[in-house]
Amino acid sequence: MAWHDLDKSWHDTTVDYCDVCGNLLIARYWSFVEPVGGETRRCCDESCERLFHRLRRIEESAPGS
Amino acid sequence: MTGTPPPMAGIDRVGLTLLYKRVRNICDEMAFAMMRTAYSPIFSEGLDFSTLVLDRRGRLIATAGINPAMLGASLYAATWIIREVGPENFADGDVFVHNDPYRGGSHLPEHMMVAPIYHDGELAAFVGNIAHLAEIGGMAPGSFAATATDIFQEGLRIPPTKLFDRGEPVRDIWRIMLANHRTPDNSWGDLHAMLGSLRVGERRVGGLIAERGIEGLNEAFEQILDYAEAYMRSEIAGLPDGIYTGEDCMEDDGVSDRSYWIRSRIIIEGDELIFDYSRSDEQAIGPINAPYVVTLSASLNGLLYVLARDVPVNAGIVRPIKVVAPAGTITCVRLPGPCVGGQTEFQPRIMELVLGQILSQILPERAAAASGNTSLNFLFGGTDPRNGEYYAHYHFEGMGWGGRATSDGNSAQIVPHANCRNTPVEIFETKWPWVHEEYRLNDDTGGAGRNRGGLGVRRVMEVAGDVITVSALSERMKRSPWGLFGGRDGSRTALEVAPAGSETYETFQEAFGLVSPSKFANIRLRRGDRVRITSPSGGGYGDPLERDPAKVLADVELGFVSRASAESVYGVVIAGGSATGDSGQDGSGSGDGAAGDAAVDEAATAELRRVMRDGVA
Repeated sequence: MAWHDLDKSWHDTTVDYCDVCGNLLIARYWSFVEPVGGETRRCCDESCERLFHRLRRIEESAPGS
Repeated sequence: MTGTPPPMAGIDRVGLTLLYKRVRNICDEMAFAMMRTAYSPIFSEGLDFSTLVLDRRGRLIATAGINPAMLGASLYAATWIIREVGPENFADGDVFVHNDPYRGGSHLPEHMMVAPIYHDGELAAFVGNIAHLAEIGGMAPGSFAATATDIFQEGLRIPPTKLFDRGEPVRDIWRIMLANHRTPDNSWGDLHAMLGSLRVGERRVGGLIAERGIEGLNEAFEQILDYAEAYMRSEIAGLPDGIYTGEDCMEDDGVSDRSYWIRSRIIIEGDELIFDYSRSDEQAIGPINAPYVVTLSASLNGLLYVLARDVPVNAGIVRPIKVVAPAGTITCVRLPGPCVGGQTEFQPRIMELVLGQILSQILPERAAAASGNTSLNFLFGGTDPRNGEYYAHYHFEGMGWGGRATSDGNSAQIVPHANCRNTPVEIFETKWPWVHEEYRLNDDTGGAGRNRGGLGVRRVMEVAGDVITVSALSERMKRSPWGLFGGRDGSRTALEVAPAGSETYETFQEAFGLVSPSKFANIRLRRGDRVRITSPSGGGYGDPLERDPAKVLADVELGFVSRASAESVYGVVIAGGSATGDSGQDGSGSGDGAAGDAAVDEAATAELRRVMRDGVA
């Protein structure tokens, strides 16, 4: 869980998206490792990490809802 | 400006309200400046723009309440420009422009400008605006390419770019932009209307800074944001916790006949709310996808129609709200997916899904049935035979809104997520080679209900030039606008054409062998060809048999409902007046459906309604 700079060269005009909410990542991003599966996720900030866990909790308590 | 007063230590509620209203008025004044100085009717008549005041971090403090469809872009686009460019790289007199839908823009035609405001060399605030340029190049005149399969066919994409450098125009950028637009004179004028609007904002916000100082003003801005957040949290906390779901679809993407589904669930927990679209279909090949901010706009607008109606619309309102729209789905397009129709067709679909289908589960008294739910974009361009100059125009059509708990739906209004206005007939005929044969309410089509859906319109016009190239991007041709709580569905969209000399209309799809009936690009029409545009009507709210018979009589007298429908749909028997049963043909209230001494036959109506309910004669 840490902040990282989003290093892009000046001629790179592509964009990056938050793995959790889909919003745009600009200049830097927050990363965390999924507890299940161990995949690294890039997201907007800590609130999106909390959102990820919240959605997972909801899914586990009410599957398919 | 000099002589900065000391920072304010906080403002009471009255002072804060007055300050906020002043900032709102600055946005309004910026909007009027833009409207009055624009070259294109989409600015001056359509009002397809927004004006913004932002704090020194680029957070939205206030916006003129003109075009809610731009709310998502208003909330994020400036912030993202500032982050991407870096605040240290701004200077007094700079103006940045961008239209990149992958960076907070809504779709390519909408350009955002943002300018910093400095005071004694210190960054104090920003002003900005967003406006729809009528022509920005791409594969179709009007830059609404309904069959585009990537963003590059939709027009010129501009990432955050300096348009003015310390007050001086960056001529190379201007030349690149104007060289890629089909109507550069209009772009020149409209871009300067946007600049003029920024100048008005700079002067007025500068006045506020002179009165209150940078710290004082930004402290007050912080309080305004906190107030909006608290307001939203209290409103959300008043809703029952739970998970509420709904779905609707885009009929096709203009490239194939396939539907794309939007699946939404709203999760309410305490004073926070999540819009989750992660179960929606993958992004479409054609241009119906939404950038993230469009899905955000739609979600917030759906919510703001039923909650927190007096909340200051600013960056504070999103603090208790999360929108989950995974990249690569139809709710968050990935580069290079096309998306010009996301703002005009996808956004109203989501907004009314939220407003009518999902929130109606917990707030039925504030919900509404579906509107016609398409902007019915009709684009055209060509060479004007009167002067040999190229022209292009982007027109959107009014349609019927859905009935709601307290009233009938409005007729002939632009789709509810955008407070825009249509293009008047007089503008059509003076600026471009079209002649109108008919423009009227489409009678007897409003979805029946306790509260009736509003009526759509019908427009027939003839090509008055040698050749004109037309395109369209619309919806609601395959699936009707839905009624709510027993209300009937509204009517559908139609786009038809009759060749010169013929009285027989065919759909564009039939006439030109198109994949989609509602989305096409670059159809060439010739002098004398006629186009008939029929916009959809709104769905009804509640059981039609519960509609006040006096209202049905009034509808018949006004020509909105035929006498036959009054009986067969509403169970209302009208005695006296004309026996023809025709509704008015001009939508002006002159219909003969119940002319003269018409009245509701109370006894016959009660009996007919009993039979219709019970099914026993």
